[in-house]
Amino acid sequence: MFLKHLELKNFRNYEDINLDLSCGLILFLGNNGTGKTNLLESIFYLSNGKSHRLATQNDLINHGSDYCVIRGIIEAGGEDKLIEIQLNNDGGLKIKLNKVFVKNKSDFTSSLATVIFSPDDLRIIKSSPFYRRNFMDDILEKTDKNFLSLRLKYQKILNQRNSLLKSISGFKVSSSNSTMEVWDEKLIETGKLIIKKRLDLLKLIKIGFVKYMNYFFEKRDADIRYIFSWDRFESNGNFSNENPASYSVIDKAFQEKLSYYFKKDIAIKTTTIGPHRDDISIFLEGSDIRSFGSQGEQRIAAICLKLVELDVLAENINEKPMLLLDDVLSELDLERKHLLLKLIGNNFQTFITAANFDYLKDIDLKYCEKFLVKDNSIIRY
Amino acid sequence: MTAQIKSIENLINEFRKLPGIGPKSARRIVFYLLKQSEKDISEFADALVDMKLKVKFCKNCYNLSEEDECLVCKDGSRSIDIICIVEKASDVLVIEGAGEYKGLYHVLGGLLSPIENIGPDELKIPQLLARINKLNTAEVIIAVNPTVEGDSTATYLNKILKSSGVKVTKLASGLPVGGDIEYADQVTIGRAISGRREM
Repeated sequence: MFLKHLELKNFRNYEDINLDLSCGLILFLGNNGTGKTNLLESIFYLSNGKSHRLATQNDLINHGSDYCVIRGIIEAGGEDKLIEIQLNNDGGLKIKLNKVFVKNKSDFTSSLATVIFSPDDLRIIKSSPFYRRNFMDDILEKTDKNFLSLRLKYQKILNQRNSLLKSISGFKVSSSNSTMEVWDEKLIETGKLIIKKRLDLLKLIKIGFVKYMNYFFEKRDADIRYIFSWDRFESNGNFSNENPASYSVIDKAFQEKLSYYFKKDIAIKTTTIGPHRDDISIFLEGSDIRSFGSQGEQRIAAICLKLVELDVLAENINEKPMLLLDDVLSELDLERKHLLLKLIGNNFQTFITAANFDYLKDIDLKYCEKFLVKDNSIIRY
Repeated sequence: MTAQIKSIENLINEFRKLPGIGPKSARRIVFYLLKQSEKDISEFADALVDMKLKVKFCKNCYNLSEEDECLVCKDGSRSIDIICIVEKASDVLVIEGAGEYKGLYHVLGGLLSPIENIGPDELKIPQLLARINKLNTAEVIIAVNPTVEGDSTATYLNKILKSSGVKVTKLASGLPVGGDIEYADQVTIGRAISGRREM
């Protein structure tokens, strides 16, 4: 699939943009702060229905405007899809697919895919578990129709359980304690489905991740493991290699740990056990890359995870996603820059942003189109 | 401008408190009422006060009633060994409208929701247990919405009722009558398939 045409109105710093694009390598060149990432963000929004920067709707609207419009034509499966998205600053959202209003974002996002590589991806490796869970859950949302509603339902139950924990003071047994069992049961019922889906996905991710890590670093032993919320209290960094995969095993462990840590939950008045506190750990040569990996290794690991995401999404929509490379090449050494570009090749429509030409000049790239981003406008050159 | 006429503004504000009424609808209603005769208005006002004074909760099932017992509880022809548990009194009206059900009701007055501070004691659950004991109920039907709160309330009721030997059933959920599979959402279809019945 590829983006043929892009129009922006009042999106971030752009008042009015109108671009025709071809399938291939497209370069956006511009100084810092000129809005290159904003441009990629709009392309990402067209196929994912959200911002990769976790921006709110109002962040996307140009200051002083009431609304913004992202309009694009994406060719996918041999057909043109005209996607029009209007965001209003009162929270309103209108989406049209081929000039027909659609109710849910999933009506168009389920058949489209864009993968963005950005310096922010390093957060998946270095930052809090939130980003690693999000990495998995975002893929699941795209590939599994039921996952979003499952995620929302789990959150609702979790909020209810947390409220109940807050209402219990000390060890006073009131009748509201008797409903705890019910919320536990519901938490496990939906939580184990989330865990199972994540474990199944992680199996796929692991195979691809090891393959790509070996591609970038020869003969380096890489591994990736699911860390249960209770493992984080108990294992002191030694995580078992085998993850349980059947519902009954997850169910049993979840139930045991939930009751074991109940007193702790009451003391700190929040639920500490469940998929909302799970994590994944990435190992290189047997040590956790988060604490022991070098900057470069962490960067490559983040890129490998994104490459796996690319494969999973491509498989799901049975088509090649669009690629957005937001300033990632500047961070890599020459060898790995070459390796990454060799992998991407001419297989995808790829958008690359760069602040200057220097770090690209020693790479042989055949650009289809080059644009200069300057003064809130985009000029072909 | 009407903004200066205080009594009109007051009434508009009163109507705006009602569910589903915005400022424009409130204004429209008030101007409609202004055109009515004094007699019509007094009847309207009397009806309001009358409703509030006369309607109370049934002492058995907490359904709405003008007397101590509601019409369902007073009706001798209904089978007293089956109780249908609902969230609110308006649900009774809907189920009664179907004419299918001939047993008794029990109105909980809400659903379990710790966020809103609603536990079993805030609902009429202790009263329900006492009633089941007294009437020697054979079956209870749990008829609450299939939401997170509704499902949890149903699970809780099932837990505490099971030990008493009462048969506990839950309303079926699935495709609406006259509906089209093509237009049903995935969750509904999923529930309809998992809850399918042999023909």
